[in-house]
Amino acid sequence: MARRGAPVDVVGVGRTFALAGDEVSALRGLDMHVPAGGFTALIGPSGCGKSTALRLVAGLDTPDEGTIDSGGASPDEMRRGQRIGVAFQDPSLLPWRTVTTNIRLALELVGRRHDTKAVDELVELVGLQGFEKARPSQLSGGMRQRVAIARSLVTNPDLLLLDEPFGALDALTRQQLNDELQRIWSARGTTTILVTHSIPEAVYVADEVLVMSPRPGRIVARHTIGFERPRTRELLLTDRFHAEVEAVSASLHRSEGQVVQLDTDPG
Amino acid sequence: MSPAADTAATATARPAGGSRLDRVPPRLLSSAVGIAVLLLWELLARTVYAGSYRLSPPTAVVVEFFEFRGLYLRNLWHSTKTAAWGFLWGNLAAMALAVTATLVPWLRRSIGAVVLTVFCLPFIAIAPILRLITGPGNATPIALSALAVVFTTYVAALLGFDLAPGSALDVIRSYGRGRLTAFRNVRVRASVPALFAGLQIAAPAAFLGAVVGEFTGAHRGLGILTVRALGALQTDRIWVIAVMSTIVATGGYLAIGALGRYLCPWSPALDVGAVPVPRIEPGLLNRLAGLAAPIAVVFVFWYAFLWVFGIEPFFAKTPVDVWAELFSVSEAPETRSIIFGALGTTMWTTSLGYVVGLVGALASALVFILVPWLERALMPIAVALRSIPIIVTTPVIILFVGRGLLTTTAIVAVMSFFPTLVNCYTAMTRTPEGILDVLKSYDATSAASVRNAYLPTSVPALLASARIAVPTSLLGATVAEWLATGDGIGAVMVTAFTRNDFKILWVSVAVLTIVAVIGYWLVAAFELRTLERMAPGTSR
Amino acid sequence: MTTNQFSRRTFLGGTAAGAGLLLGGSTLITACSGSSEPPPAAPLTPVNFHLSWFDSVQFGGSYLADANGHYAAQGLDVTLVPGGPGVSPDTSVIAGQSIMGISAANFAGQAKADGAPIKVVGVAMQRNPFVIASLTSNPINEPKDLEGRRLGMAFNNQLDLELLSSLNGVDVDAIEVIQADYDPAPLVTGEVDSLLCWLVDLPVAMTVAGIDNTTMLFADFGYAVHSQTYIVTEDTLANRRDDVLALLRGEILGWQDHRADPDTSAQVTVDRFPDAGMDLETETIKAHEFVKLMFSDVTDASGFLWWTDQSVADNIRVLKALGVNVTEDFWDRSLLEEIYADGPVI
Repeated sequence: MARRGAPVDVVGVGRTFALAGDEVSALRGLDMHVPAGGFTALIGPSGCGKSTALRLVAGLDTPDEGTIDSGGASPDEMRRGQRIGVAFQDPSLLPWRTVTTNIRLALELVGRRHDTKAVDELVELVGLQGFEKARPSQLSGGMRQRVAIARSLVTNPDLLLLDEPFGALDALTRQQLNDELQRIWSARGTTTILVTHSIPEAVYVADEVLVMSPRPGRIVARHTIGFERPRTRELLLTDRFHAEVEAVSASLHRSEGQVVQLDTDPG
Repeated sequence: MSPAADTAATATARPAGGSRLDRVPPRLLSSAVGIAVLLLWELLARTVYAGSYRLSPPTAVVVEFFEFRGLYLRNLWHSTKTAAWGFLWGNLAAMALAVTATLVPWLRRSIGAVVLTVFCLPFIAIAPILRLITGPGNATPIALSALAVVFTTYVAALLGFDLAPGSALDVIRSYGRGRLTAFRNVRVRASVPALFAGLQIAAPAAFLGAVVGEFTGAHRGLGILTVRALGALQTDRIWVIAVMSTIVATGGYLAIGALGRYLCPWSPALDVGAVPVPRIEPGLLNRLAGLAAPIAVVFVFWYAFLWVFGIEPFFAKTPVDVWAELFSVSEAPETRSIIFGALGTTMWTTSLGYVVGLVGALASALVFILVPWLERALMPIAVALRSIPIIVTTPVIILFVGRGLLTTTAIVAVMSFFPTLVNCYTAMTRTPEGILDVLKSYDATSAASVRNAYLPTSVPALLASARIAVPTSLLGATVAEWLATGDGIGAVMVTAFTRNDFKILWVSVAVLTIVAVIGYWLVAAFELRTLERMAPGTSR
Repeated sequence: MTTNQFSRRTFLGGTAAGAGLLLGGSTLITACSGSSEPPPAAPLTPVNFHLSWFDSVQFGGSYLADANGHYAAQGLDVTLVPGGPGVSPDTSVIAGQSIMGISAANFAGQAKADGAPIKVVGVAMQRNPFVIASLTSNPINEPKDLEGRRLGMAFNNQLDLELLSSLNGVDVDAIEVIQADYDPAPLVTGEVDSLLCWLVDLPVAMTVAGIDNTTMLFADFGYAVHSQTYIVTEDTLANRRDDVLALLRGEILGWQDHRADPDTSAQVTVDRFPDAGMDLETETIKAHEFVKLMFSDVTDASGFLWWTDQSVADNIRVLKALGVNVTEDFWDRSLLEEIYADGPVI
């Protein structure tokens, strides 16, 4: 399938918040480039500004300095052009809607309410056949997250922004969803940025892993992940996978200047 | 999420209004709006309403207050003291009942039925009957004021006890300790936030009870001063009383809220708007039993009331008497036509005001959520007005609207508007940030945000407010009919007791109470159904 | 010095409800305030006397009776219980909480017709104080003038209006009735052309406010309903006749004082209730108006509270038209006859 999607160029971005009377600098001098159709993972210690960076790219917040550009469009223009899909750690589903209508919400918002085919496709893609009429409260955590992913994809966005979407799930479900995410991305070719705490997850799904420093956050290391696709679970057991995880982990250590608790157990 | 990101999320919790007014500090904005309102008020009073005996300019209100400050403060002190005693007794009773209902679960439904029935009793008709029992003095105002607070505090305390974390209760049980220990160690502490939310609502209700009580004969008090002022063309005096009561009621409301936060710093403010509906067990038999038992208990209480206080047959009417008056004696058709004719008028004006109040409140909450600077400017005023006892607003509404049917509608609307507005708005601000972010990421229009997020999130608060508003609306309506319009069942009740017609009085009380209870249950059933449909398994 | 007499009911209620005792306690405190203090030689008999409205110079004679020691001289310790829009004095009397109450012939008559064992033992206002008040610039001088005009009145006066209309051949449907109660503002602002009210109430407020007004007294147009009537139960009459006699004597003495010096009565009233916000000028005007309503050739000839057989006949006829059926035995003049055995002044 043809690669599609928008590239993302972040140059010298800074963002400061007022917090309890203090100025807290969340990001300073953030530079990153994600090619069109690329899959980039953003990793870093807690509170380093990963989520803030993602929100800036999504146009949900504006930087105090620097520029963000997606093939000539600003994040706000991307957002207003309805070219972005987002999913967060909290699936943020509407409890009064069913699986189908939750996914359809995104279509309604972009004025394509009647595109039932797209919804059916996504339900199938995320493996929720048979649960179309279920409400979020009747679904497991993993299933809810699938709905959120499906919703973020149903509009066929040029840019998919995922903020720890699998953070709250158990290891097995998480690995399953990683596989599916990879499959979906391969099928659609949407430019994807994934914020995560898990190094193995980042290495497993992304083309490139960017490591951020503690606050104020900026990119301190770039790891290009060259594993061929489709990647399978056997990859997790190989030495080259472990070596890559070690390398990213070492960058993270250096960035923090302290020991971090690594999350090393996907599958 | 990082703290910084949290802040960012909060900052975007509402649609980007982009108004420059959003950046003005809230206090400045509120003060500016306050001053503007005062100026406009002064201007209107000095021009359009000059010599109309309707609107007193703020300056005149201040001058009047200081000229007669001793008089005002003494009366205020008296009414406040009465309300405080009622508040104390009523809340103690409510809490005792809530404790009983928690520790002895099979009693819960019956206690709930009795407490709800008390809440639905028309005060203006109960007042003379209480006076009959207590004799002259301050006991009737105190008793009325106590009765006015029992229901809301009971419900709030019960909610609080139920909110105790199940895991903590399990810990207690795992040590082999019983309900009582769990109650002492976990439930009491857990109940504080909800309890205080209930007490906040109880404060103005206690005031209302005290003032209605004064109408049954007292030497002093704000209610008496108001009625005197209306008859003596003392417009300034009516406004002083209204303003003074507003300040005191708001002060009480805020003070109780602050005390709650001080006692429970770990807990977010809770709203009694979120009081859950009691669940009805499935199955027709269960449902019938569930309804029959509380009704039986209410009838037992009715007889017990007459027996304990030894009320003479001329005044005391039993359920059998009421039934006979309505259906079997020779004048029954005439009685029915009087009662149900008047009830029809009351229901019509009340329903209209009720719907206008609720819809208006919901619409205003939405406007506030979409136009944040407006919210910051006006919400403090709305919170203040929510705590004003209706009895104080009534004369002011009479001054403006006159004494037609519209007065009842206006009073009922005002009565249901402010609590619903505050509850719905609070619920809307608790719309999950993730949902708002999702909406924003698609550049959703305001209409889409309202439809998909704010409106559905506020539905539980709206329905809970609507449920509580059924009895309070009928209370407001009967007070309005009594003091202002002279129509409907309120007038029938007043005519009945001024003419010593206790048959009609008891029949009216019974019919109106039943209507209020049924109305409450209808809304409750609708609420339960809606919540189940909107989000199955999430309603309690 | 005044102690509140707990009725059996209150006491039972107190023990049964727990909280009742404390409530009773506060009753006591309130009842104590506002009474005068001549030191009693013999123990006084405590009684409640239920007035028909809030504290007002309408009861000036009673306050004078208290202040001047007339009640105490009769061996009574009288608590003057205020009325209000949410209470009926008849109820208090029938329930035995008050030994005597002030009502009107139509209200008390209704209770009597419904089986309440009460009797009228005194009539303070033989002339009913109902008036139609209007602005002098647009006056209503006789019932006929009401036709085609807007009338503001309280809802429960509909029967009274219908009666006045039928007595005077007025088409009641031609009167546009608008609800207005306790409030002269609608007349002043021109929302209505007239008000049905008490002579001594809204018209006085308007006069004090400098608004010229005209009043048309119902009593001048055939509306004969005794007002400010003193009622007691038959049981009290049979078993506590002396207390009732004593209370009536105190009342008469107080009202004789009021008649002699209405200005002082107004002053005493205003001073007695500092929390009521009464205006001395208004109360003084009212004090004089009440003298006109309460004293007449009949009382001059026979004594205060007296009524004639003719007025009883008129009342029975008018009450019947109002839907209230009572007979002559509703009125009992034997106490007054005993009190005034030696002449119309005591």
